[in-house]
Amino acid sequence: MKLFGKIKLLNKIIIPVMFLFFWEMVSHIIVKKLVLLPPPSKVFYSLYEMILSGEIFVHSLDSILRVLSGFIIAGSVAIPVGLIMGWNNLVEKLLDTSVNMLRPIPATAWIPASILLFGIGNKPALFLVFIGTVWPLLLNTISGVKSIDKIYIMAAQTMGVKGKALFKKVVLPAALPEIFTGIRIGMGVAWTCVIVAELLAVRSGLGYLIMESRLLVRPDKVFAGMIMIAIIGLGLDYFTRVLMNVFLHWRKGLKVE
Amino acid sequence: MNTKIFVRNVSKDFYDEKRRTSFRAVDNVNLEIGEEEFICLLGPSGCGKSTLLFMIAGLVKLSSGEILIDGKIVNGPGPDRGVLFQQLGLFPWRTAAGNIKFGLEVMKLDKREMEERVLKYLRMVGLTKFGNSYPHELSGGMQQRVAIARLLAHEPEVLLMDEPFGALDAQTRIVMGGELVKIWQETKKTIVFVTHSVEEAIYLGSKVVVMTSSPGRIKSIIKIDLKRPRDYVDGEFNTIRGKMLAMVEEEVSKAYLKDIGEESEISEK
Repeated sequence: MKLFGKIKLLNKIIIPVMFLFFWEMVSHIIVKKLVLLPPPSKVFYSLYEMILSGEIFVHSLDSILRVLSGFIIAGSVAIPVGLIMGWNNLVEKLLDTSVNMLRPIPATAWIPASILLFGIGNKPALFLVFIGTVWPLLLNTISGVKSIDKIYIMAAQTMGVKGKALFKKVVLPAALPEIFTGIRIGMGVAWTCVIVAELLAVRSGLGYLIMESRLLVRPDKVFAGMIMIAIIGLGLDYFTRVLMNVFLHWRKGLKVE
Repeated sequence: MNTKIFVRNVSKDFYDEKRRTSFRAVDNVNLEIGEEEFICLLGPSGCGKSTLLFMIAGLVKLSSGEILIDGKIVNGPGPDRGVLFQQLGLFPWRTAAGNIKFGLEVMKLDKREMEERVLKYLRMVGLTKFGNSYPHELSGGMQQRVAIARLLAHEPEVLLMDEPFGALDAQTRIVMGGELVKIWQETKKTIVFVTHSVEEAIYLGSKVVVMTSSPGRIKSIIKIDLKRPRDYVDGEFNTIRGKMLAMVEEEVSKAYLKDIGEESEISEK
């Protein structure tokens, strides 16, 4: 059995290891003089240096804080509005046109406008995260409410539960699985948005780090920063899955891998 | 015996959007149900018996007529009438105990009283060990019992049951029926129980209301005087079963002939 375990691990890492080896060779032998492709050894070394100096953590923390705060702002708007839109046909009809007109604008298309509106700094980044995540959160919340099995509502009503209590005790928990689908999609979008915003409109964060390193002609730091972006992206997805397993543990046989 | 539920000239039309016609599900039903009675509504499927039950529950609006509970007109659902649904409608995000507690949380009971009430009803349905289990972790029969405990916990005076044992296997169904009779005898509730099983109706009911096939009208009301616990293979039980089966069969074949008639009408067109 142990052998099998080892083989599985080997299967998983064999391609990446070969890739790194290939990359190392290419950057040393073939293209050394032509383009600025640093070998992986150098990239990992500069990542190590930035870890020692703490530089990478400062930027990572900034990016993470932006993602989370932008996400919380989007969630505190989109989830309540989505619950109401899903529940009340009139409200949905009133807001439907506006949503459908704004939604096709990609978050990245908001960058110039957000710099004009908010200048340079945290605000445009938060705005961009907000714009990117508000739609998946809103739409999934609406459809979560609409697809609630009516039997739950009827059962609650016959037990004297109505109004606000009905919303809190039935509508919200019943829609929660779909809301979490929105959160998971939104988290991926949010991470993209924050990096893009940092490339252009903020003077800190991982996006800023890689852009700044390009200007300083430090390709090793550009790639090191990208590795960190990948690690944190994975971490954020892992974090949402942990949240899902905590909040949706009651779902039959469900464990989000 | 005091009248608990009074159904007066009640009809229900459903509008069929596809065919743009309305369809009469319940037609001019009059029914008086006394306190502590156990009424079984018996009829072929599609005869409007569940619709009638949901109208008493206040979940379906009447097209005409009125329904009174203790002399007050029914206007929407309320905690005085508990409903046991065919699909149960247990909240999957709550444990068995959490489901039972659901209706109590809006009753402003203090915490200790609430816990005691939950425990009392868990005990009544024999699930004290399973209070912390989620519905999907329980068997069909156990889920049924959680639903019954939840139904009883906020202590409604009227229990409305829509073919609650329909999804259970025959053995569990008989056991659940026996338990329900016991609960009825202990709690003295007024029960309206919808079923299409003649045996179940005779076993459970103090009265059986036989309904016609669609549109649902009352065909006859039969008082069941057999002493409890009743015996499915008892001679008298079988005599009643024979009579009642004949009535139901007549309605089923009527419905069948009507469907055939409609089919041939369509094919003629």
